[in-house]
Amino acid sequence: MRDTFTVAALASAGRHPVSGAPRACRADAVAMALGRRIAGDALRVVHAGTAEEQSLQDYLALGAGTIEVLPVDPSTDAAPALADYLRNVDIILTGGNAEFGRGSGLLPYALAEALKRPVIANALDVNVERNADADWSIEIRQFLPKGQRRRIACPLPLVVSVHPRAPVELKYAYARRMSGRIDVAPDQGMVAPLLQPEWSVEIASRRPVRLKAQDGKSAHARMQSAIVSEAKGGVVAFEGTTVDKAQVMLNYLREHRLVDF
Amino acid sequence: MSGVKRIDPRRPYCLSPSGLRRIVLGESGGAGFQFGAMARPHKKVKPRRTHEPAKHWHMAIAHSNRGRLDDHAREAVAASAILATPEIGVIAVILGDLHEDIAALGADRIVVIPELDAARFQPQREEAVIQALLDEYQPAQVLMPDNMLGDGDLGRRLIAKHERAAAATHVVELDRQHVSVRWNSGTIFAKSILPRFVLLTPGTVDIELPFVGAGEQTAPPQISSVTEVCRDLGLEPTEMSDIALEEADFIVSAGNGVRNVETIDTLARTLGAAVGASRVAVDEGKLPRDKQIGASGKTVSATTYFAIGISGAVQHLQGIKSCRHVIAINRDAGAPIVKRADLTVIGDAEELMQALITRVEQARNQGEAGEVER
Amino acid sequence: MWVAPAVTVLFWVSVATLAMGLARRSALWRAGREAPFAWSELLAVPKRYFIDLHHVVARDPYIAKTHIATAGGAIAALVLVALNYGLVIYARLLDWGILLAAAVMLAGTYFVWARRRESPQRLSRGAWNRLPHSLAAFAIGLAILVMAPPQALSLAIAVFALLLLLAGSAELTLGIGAGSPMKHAVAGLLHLAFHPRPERFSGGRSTALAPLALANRDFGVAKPADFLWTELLSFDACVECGKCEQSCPAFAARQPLNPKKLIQDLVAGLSSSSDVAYAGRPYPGISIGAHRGSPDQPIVPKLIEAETVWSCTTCRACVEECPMLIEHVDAIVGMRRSLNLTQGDVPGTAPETLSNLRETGTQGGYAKSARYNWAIDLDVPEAQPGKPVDLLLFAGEGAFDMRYQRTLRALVKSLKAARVDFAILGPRECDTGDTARRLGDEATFQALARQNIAILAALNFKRIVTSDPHVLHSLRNEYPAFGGNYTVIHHTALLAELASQGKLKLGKTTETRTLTYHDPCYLGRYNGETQAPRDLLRNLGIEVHEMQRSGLRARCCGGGGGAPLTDIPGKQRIPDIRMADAREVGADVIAVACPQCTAMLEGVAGARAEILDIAELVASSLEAQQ
Ligand SMILES: Cc1cc2nc3c(=O)[nH]c(=O)nc-3n(C[C@H](O)[C@H](O)[C@H](O)COP(=O)(O)OP(=O)(O)OC[C@H]3O[C@@H](n4cnc5c(N)ncnc54)[C@H](O)[C@@H]3O)c2cc1C
Ligand code: SF4
Ligand code: SF4
Repeated sequence: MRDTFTVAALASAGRHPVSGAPRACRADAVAMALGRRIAGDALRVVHAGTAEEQSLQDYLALGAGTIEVLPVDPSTDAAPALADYLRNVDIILTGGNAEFGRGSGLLPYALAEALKRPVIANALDVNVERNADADWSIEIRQFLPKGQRRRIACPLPLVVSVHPRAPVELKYAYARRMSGRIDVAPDQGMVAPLLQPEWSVEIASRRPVRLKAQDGKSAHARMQSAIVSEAKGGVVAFEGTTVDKAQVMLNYLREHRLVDF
Repeated sequence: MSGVKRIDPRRPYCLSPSGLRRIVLGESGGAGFQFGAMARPHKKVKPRRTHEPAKHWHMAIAHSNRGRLDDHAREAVAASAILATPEIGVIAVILGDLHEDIAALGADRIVVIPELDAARFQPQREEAVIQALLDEYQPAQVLMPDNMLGDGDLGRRLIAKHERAAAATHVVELDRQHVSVRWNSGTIFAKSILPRFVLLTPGTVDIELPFVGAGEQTAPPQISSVTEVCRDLGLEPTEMSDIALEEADFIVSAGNGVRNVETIDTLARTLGAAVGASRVAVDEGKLPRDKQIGASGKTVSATTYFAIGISGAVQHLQGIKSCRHVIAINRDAGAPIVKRADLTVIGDAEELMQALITRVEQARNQGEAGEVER
Repeated sequence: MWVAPAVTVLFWVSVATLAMGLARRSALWRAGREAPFAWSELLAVPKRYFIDLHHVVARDPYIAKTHIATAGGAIAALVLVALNYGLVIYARLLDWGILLAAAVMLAGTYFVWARRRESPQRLSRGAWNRLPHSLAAFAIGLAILVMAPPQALSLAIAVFALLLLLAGSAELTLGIGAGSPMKHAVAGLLHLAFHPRPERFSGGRSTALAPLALANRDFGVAKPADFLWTELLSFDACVECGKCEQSCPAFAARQPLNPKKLIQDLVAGLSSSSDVAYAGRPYPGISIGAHRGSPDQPIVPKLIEAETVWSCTTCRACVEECPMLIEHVDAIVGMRRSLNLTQGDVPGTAPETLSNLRETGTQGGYAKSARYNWAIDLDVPEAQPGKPVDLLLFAGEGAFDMRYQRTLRALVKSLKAARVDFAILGPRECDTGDTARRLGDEATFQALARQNIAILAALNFKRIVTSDPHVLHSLRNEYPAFGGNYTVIHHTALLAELASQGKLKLGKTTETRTLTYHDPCYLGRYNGETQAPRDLLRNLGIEVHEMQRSGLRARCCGGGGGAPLTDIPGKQRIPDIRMADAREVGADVIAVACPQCTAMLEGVAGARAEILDIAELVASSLEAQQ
């Protein structure tokens, strides 16, 4: 039996999607706030990267207290180093996707795989309780689309990725930013693998091209369909009986598969 | 027909002074315009994609939803077929019941595993079943919808186990050689060679195919029982009306033009929608404050948004920026909401809501065949 | 006879009581923070009293005269008593003087009594209702004692008169020590001397908020002792007249704010008591009696609820009306600063706006490069380093609003018609941080101010023009504290200037509807500019049908201070109230001069007057000429 359990939240560098300004990654900030609720001041906040990362200041303002920085070269895969560093932490909390860099949402899974522990995605709430064996057990409330929620019972240790709609409030307080600390953990000397596969990047100034089957339609037909589907501005139904108009609405819903009857 | 098909452009209409198209109802246009018969092309038999025996496989994996595949899942199956060359077969692995034929999506072989439906949480069992299938078929390509229904989760579990390197998630563009994803919150396109595991963002693939697959059903693999480390304690009961507006996919929203709140509640129940409101409706005490949508209320992203008796002030529109289909009911064709709405019906809110309730109930009760075929 | 010595004794006892009371009360004030001050300021009191304070009081001639009689009579009587009895002169002539003073005071007291018989709701009752009686007792007792010939004075009458005087003196002298109504006299006079904004007395309008020394971990007011001691003193000067309450738009909308109660709660806080004895109207929707505090206890939420602090629009109407020259807005923003900076506790959608400001330099989270998209087809140069220009256009957040872009385009059109050499600031422009500052986010305000100051330093211009009074206020009044000194002009003042110089040939308007003008708080009360917009309208041939509350006393539209973001619920909306003001004068058009007012008034649902910016009216008159 154990008296305590340990919780860490991962904090990745965030960037505002429009301005690119450094900020706390929203998803991670939510995970941190949830961690604060379960572990109080004992929550560890860990960033894999450098202590100079500007967005860490935001995490301090949001109540990180002290941030542990694990030195990791950004061009390498942070998962092995993090797994090694967090080996003894019972609950590792992450956001779903990083907003800066790849944001593939794979990190929690990679961590769980490396540490051979379960991973639960899209958690809205995490409740830790002592169970009958005088150990800790965890109940997770999981987000599912369309307002559905699931409860899952898990043993320790585990990795939890937190859904952005977790019911926590992010409170930005400048005074906390000033009193917070950033500690750099000793370099573990791990040689992390480079990230694969190789990617080439461009500024996203165009819309992605949809994958389409070659359909042998004439160029004219394709053009027609493009025009029809891109015509902007709505249709206005003025005349007819109320019943006709109700039918127009129903037709619209059906035509766009917005209802299933 | 594509998912974004609009109302038949040849139907009778006239131009309003502001340049908007008005449909003239109850008039038979030259093309014999009929209600419910919206742009339905006559069915023609499509050819099979390939007649060669499969040497290799592309595998699509997706959870079904109440026995059907949603558009996002369909895209994964269709993409597997589009990317396949003639000697490659397409196997669709459907987790959960399936009550529809998905050969039209190009599936040559279909494995349905009803007990792995999305309502249950059994990741280890899912992994074991999929592992057996991966071993059996050795697919060159695995495509899945990157969703919250369980596929995004399962996909990442598989990727973490297998080949982290040969995988791409949140894919927004793909072809036979490449995938593209967005980085830095969408500001950068990153392109790479097509990896083995691909998780697709919705809207990436056109599911209208000019061909069909063989569509043979195959029995799922037998696996020994698995004990889950994490126990599923079940779904919480939910009421549509309790759903937070931010999560609702279908919202009917009341404005100053709605006099009778009961009607809008009934309409919402009939359509399975959540109820929202404009600030004026909230100020007047018709609906509680947490139903307010707009600049000083909630920002919603429902696929379908009914704006009933709402004028469409900028502060309100701010809250519905990312709603895909906006349908307005308003007395005034000059209200700003008309510019935003995809369909506006002019008339009295109460009457039109009543009519719609009646019509929808009829449609539901009679189990009218879906009039729009895909 | 023993009467005269008795008065002498009473006088000196009273002086001692007063001194002790003052010592006690000032110990409470000294719990506050250090403030720069000089004893010599005491010399300025008469001028400040008779000119600055009476300037405000004189708006209500009844009470002005009443107060002059009562206070003037009392002071004169006291001075004479000090001479005649304090110094044991006992001259008959001086007694006549005392009688006269007492008579004047009594007359004043009568009018105090008369007003209180059917007192307006804004006045506090309770201990205040005692005043006409205790003051009359003082005047009558004094008059009898000094004037009645000793022989004629029976013992009973003498004792009675002495008791009256005693009661009156107790009211006057115990007030300061006990914190009862008459404390206002002593605290009020000292407050005039040590006012936290002494600039107010040298003719200027002092409206800029004081910067916080964030590096010294100064994060605003969490507890009463975090106020400057001069501010604590100022709260004690409050006479509970309720002028502030009457002018407060949030109070009118039944939001949980009443500036008078707020000041009284702060008095309760500085004196470690509660609001049980408060006898005025409550914060709408919040009951009286459960609030208590002490100098070292957090103010929110035990003494004042957070919703109260967040309801304020920072319109300064209360400050404008307060006869005791109390600075409510400074107090409110001080408390907001603490809530915001130390706890990040801000309601409504304000946190989102604040993070947008930090992360994008815009309130709406827009790309700064899109701020001047509305000007793309207008062929307006963008300011460049090394390219001097007369006038720099600073558009502000309104530039992202499609509605307000019409105003900006109209302004540009007029500037072009007047052949003004101007440029837009372009994608460099950051939000001025006005909203952040009013919401208490001093850190974000200072960061934005520094950015803008650096941007402006690289450019060569003579003046800045803006159509947004909030931008005007921060650039003109608040940036100097950070080293940014500019000549900033509002678009209405600029257009009026161009018209008077003949550079802009205004035509006669085609507008025939009834029009009224709504003064933006940040142009009128904050900057004293009420004339230029009216001149412009007159030159356009428009008659302004003034609303009852206009000019420096105009009612707020509800848009300032981040109030639309915190959005504290009330029973009504402030802009609806303002729209009703306009309806009262039959206005079909409300001319405005601020993007915030435009948005708020246009947000009024139902049939309403049309909202047109003065720039639009000017531009359309130019069009009509062509
Ligand atoms: C700072 C600020 C923030 C704001 N925030 C919000 C916000 O978050 N959300 C919000 O909604 N608003 C907000 N507003 C208010 C906004 O400007 C509008 O006033 C409000 O949205 C109007 O609500 P409405 O459309 O219901 O009412 P109205 O403007 O009165 O419109 C009613 C509409 O109903 C139609 N109608 C009337 N009777 C009938 C009938 N019998 N049948 C059919 N149609 C009928 C009318 O033609 C009209 O178009 C805000 C305003 C400000 C200034
Ligand atoms: S500034 Fe305006 S809103 Fe705030 S308390 Fe004073 S009068 Fe009321
Ligand atoms: S604060 Fe000023 S205006 Fe308000 S009640 Fe007190 S003295 Fe009167």
